[in-house]
Amino acid sequence: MTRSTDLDIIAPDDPITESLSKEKKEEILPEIKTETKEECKSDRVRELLGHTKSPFSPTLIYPDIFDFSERDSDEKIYVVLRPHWFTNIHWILTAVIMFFAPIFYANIGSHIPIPANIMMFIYLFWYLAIFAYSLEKFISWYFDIFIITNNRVIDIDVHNLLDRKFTEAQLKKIQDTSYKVSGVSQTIFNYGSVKVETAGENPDIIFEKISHPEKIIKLLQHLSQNAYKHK
Amino acid sequence: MLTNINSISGILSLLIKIFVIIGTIIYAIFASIVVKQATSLSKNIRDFFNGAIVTAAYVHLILAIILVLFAILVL
Repeated sequence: MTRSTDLDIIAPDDPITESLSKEKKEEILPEIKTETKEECKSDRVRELLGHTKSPFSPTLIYPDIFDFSERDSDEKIYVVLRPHWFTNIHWILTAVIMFFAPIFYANIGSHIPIPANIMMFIYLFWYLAIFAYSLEKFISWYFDIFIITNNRVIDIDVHNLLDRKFTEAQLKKIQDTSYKVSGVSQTIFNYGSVKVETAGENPDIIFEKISHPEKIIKLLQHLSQNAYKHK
Repeated sequence: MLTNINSISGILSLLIKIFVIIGTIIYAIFASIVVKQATSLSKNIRDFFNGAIVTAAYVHLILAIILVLFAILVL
């Protein structure tokens, strides 16, 4: 069943088949019944995290465009999380300061004679370095992803362009979850780290600097309980 | 004496030029790694801005190559 793109008009919490009796549902709409069952499990996702349509948002609920290569064919993506937007502030400010630095130099240090061709080379190199720095930081943020699907949680960490890590844990194997919000900015903007402890020898998964960690904890608890029941 | 100073400064500027060219070549290699990594990540994770990121990485590589040429021809 295709889902409407306008989530404000058709609330997923109120499936169309709600008014039908169980027997009628089975007779008339067997396919819808399966879909509704699946959605009922994940109603808690929207209940906790709300709706989001913007591709700029660090929290994507049931994303239409998003996909990843390790996804199984029957696997449904519930939530995609990136670090909170505020974590980008330091590199954006650095880039802005670096961008305007040559103007200060032109005003303050113009008495030093530098040939025009060398000056042009320095400017070109300087702005290219700013571009590379910003691109590297944006890529590190953009591909640093935490995915919650109907089967598992996945953490893709990109610390820099040469350091990438993929970790996953089955929802039914989640034993304990905890979160930590520390510092001024994390308290003001409500973001923090979520730790997911799993059974066995699997490493713990830590999602750094994600928005509303307390809601993510609740969601993970809900999904892992469901997964455990249907094991 | 003046000839010696001129030749020393000539050698010095040549050395600086060689170092700058080597530096820009290393930078171009870094730019190609950025392209490789951005392409690889975009293949693994598909999202809204993938096209823009890969394009930006290629633009960066082209500018890095222009920088190498600039260092060789203009400096």
